[in-house]
Amino acid sequence: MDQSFFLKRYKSIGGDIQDIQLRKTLRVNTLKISTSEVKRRLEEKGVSLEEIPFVKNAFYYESRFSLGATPEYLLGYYYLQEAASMIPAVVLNPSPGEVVLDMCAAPGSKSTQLCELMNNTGVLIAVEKNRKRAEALSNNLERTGCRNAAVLLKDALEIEAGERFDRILLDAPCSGNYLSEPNWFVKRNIAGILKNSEMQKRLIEKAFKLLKRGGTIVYSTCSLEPEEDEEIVDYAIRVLGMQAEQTGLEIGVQAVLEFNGREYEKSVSLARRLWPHLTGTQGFFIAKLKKG
Amino acid sequence: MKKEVEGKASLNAIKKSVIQFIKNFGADNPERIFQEMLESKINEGKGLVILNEEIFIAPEDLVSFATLLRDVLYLGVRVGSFKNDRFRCAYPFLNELSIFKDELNYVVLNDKAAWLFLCGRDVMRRGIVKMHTSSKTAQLYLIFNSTLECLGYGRIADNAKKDVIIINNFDLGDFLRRERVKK
Repeated sequence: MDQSFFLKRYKSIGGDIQDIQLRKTLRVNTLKISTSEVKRRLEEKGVSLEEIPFVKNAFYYESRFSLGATPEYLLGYYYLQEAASMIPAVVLNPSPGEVVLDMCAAPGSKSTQLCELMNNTGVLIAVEKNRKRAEALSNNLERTGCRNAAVLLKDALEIEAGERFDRILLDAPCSGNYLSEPNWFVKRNIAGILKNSEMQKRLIEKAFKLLKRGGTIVYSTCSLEPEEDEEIVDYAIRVLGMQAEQTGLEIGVQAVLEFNGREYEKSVSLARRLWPHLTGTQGFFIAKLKKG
Repeated sequence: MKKEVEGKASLNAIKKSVIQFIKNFGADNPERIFQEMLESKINEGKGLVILNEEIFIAPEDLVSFATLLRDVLYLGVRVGSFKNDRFRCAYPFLNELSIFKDELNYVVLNDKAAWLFLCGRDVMRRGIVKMHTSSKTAQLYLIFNSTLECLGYGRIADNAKKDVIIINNFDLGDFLRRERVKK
């Protein structure tokens, strides 16, 4: 597709997007070290850090050398993670001792963050179907000192049935957004978006079946396409009978309730849509759903 | 899928091999260190699990849960691998072992030598700030940086190589290298 097609779509739902330069970001791993100590050590090496206002223990950084190969990185003191992708685990808000599922987990930024939020207690099941990506996920769990996680090498759709989980993070595979890869507009088309949308519906239905009654799902994507975002939440509410909940986020804008002549269920608007030009992050979508 | 949690099989063979590994660092009483590092945890309700040749230690509830869901690749804490009756440690194990450093052989490196060690290089005599030898007959040394963070371990070099004093056996840079190899 050409760029103007997507820009027109975004404009129709309030996203008059502009190109932005994404800032580099990291999240401190408080399982291993304090935030102040990481800050001190990196600043001593000449790295400049600025706190990210919407996530705790996370920084924008500027550095003349790669922060992906420092002793502190190898020791698991921080994780290089885009700012918006730090939000879903915070919204899921797992408590220590709970049983949590990360359905599409590699390479592990959110799984390691969940272990941290659970203070290494309870059970985290991280699922990834691609072997290389699952190995990268395992390495990241090891590097960051996670102790309460298991990695399953399998398709999330094939997880054994049963209402086992207190909370589920479904950061679904998606079309991405124009900041996620060069020439994104040229590479994407509606057929691909609709295909992803169907797969995302299957995934959220699976998540619903695996969730305990009263449990919580956080659904997120880095797509800006309503078919992959609001439409999936609408499906979860209308077809699966879930309830949308407040995310507690101030960042982003409320999700849209109408697109291409289609109206979504009213509570879909509780989800948040992150337009890059407004948030300084990559494009993102986050919804919180409860199983009654 | 071939991989399944196999339970606590081969515990004795693993124990023997791990104790020998600890002894190679000059420990007077490697059995006690093993007991404190692993056996006490097993007695507290954690399970030693073998997935193919990889050894993990994990809480029983995690093991049970993962076993139920099948296709487990990784769980809990990676201890190391066990192949042909030989134990190779993973970093979490080494890091825990480093708590017992006063009973073991170790060296502390200056910043430059520490960085080079993380890049896979051997340790030169001039990079050593402190050398603690618990047993002269033991071959292995834990390697620390100046802030006493364990970076890996190495084997004492032959006298023939006068500049190189410790051969790098394992370092934290392995986290990066293993991903590069797999790409």
